[in-house]
Amino acid sequence: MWTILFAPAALALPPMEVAIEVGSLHNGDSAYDVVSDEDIVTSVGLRGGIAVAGPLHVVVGWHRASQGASVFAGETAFQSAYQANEWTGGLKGVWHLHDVIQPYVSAQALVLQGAFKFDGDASDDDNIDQLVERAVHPGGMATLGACATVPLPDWPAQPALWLEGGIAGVSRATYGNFGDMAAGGFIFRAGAGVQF
Amino acid sequence: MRRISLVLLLAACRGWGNLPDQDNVYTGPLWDPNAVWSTPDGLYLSLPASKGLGLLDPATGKLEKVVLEGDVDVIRAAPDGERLAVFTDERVCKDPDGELEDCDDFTDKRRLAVVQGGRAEVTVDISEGWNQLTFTPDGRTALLSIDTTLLDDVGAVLDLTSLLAVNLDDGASATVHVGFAPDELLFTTLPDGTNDRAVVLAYGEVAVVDLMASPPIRTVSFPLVLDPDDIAVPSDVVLTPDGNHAMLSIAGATELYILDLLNPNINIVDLDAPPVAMNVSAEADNTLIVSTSASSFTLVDHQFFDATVIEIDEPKSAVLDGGAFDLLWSPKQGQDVLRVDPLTGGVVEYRLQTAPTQLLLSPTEEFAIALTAQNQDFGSPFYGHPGLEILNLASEDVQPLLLESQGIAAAFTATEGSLHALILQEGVDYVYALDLYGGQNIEIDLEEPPITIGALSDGNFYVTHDDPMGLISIVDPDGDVTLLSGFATTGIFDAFGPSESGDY
Repeated sequence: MWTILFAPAALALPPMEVAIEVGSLHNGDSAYDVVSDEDIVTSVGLRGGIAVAGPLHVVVGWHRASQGASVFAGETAFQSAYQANEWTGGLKGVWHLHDVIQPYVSAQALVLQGAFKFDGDASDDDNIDQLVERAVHPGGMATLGACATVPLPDWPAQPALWLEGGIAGVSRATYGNFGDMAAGGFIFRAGAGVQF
Repeated sequence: MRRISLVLLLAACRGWGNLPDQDNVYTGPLWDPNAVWSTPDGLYLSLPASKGLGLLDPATGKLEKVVLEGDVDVIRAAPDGERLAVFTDERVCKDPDGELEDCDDFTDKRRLAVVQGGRAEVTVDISEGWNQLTFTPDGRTALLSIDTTLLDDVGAVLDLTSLLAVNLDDGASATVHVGFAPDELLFTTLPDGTNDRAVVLAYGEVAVVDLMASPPIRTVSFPLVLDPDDIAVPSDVVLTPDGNHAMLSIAGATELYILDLLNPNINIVDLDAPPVAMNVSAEADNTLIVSTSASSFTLVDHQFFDATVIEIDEPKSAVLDGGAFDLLWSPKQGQDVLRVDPLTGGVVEYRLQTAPTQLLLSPTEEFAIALTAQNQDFGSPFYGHPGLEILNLASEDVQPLLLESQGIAAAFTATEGSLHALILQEGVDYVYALDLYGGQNIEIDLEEPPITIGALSDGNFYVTHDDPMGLISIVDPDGDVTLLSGFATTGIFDAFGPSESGDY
């Protein structure tokens, strides 16, 4: 761990950042109602970035969303689940306002790799009513955010918090026989990590 | 950091039996195991949650949604066993460019679609309110009427005294004014099988509609009673094979009304007891009539309408048409089933162990199956058990079988050289298969308790089960079972989307 934190300074690498994040992506498509009463896809994930030229950073990220519900269909019920990987990558422009607060904007490609699952008997790992359909949605996101750091001049890395919001959208994609879904709207990300 | 990464990895790898479950969501049934129609196309299924219709291929288990304009309201099978008539409703914004969600000024469209081959072959715009449908036996025409008891609300002026005749081949439709609210429809048949006239009955009135005219038109109408204040409630009605006379019984009355449909007049035949069921024999050119208040049946010939009374041991209340014979029986009463030759009046008696709840005739008319209630005869070996009795109609043989549970349905399949029946019992997870020619009967285990059974056109049976995601067993008469599951999730996202009829 310490080796990693000290590596950029020791090797004279450009400034980097890593963070653990939580996030949400608006999904007002009625298809998502099969797993949630809310129109929000919550997720957890990781993000990393590296400065490439002046205020410009390359950022990449991965989020995992996992939402499920008991579906009451008339007098009987079954279980539904939506599990997705949200892959992001793009550029971030940072304004070094001062040592603590650094606003930024970012524009990233977003690829949503989703799976809808239906299980007729959640208590049985192996039953005939286990169906899954997958789809990949390409899209993008643009956010406005700020990073708050705690300056520790003698330390190789500074703790940092990120908060950003913006808009995102992914294309409509077909989940086999289940139907199709698109997602998009407000996106929110918050993270905690280090800059070094 | 390591611990958090592990949590993330575990979240990413959640498998079956450990799916996330944070919420409850609600929708209607994705399918209805009691609403399945077998046709040569496959099995048509009602999809209530998405207000749609699906076609399931029994060979592959793949369900295709039938593309219809609007939400499905009512589904009816045509008598040819090949087509479905589907009523649909759609809410349409009057502004052609307007979105329904944002529309203040909309109109409701009702349509009748004739479905065959997995698609709507004919779609007819119809007025609001038409909700009852009767097919002509030849499957050419559908006659629509309005049953006000089925209307939630009335959003337009409705004419209850008319019929809407829809030609199912080309979709042509015409309103036929009959002058009263129709109650029952019967059809006359030409030698080539075409239904040329409809006989429309209601409280105290009769009308004849010429279906061969273009558009169909009422030709004859006359009252059953002279005083309009009198009400005659028909209890049963049949047509003579030549279509010239209707024979009509009135609830609780011993009089049989003979309506001359060509030269409108009424003759009355006095019977010994009020008729409760009638059946016409084309071969014998007479009508057999039974009554619950007389231990006899009556044969009325169609030439002079003379009545011949034949005594039997106990009254009968139902008649099953076997073509060359009639089966007389009484649901839940009496243990006799009588096979009557309508030409001679000859009777063959089949004595059952218990009173039958259902009597079903095989398509070859060689056998009948009686499903019987729990036996109450203390001295009988069948005491305390429901049963199944196989009547060999070529002889006087009855084969009684004791059932584990009450028999609730039976289905037959007949192929060249074989005749099988499948028996469904209440709450048991197997079906009983009868080889009616070979005599080899077997129990066929099922994955889940059955709900309904039916026959497929390929000689196999289908059995539906109460599974929210869809479960049907395809049963080979030899006992092989193929499960079709999960098909009701086809188009599941539609079940959560906006309705086309404005209902959510």
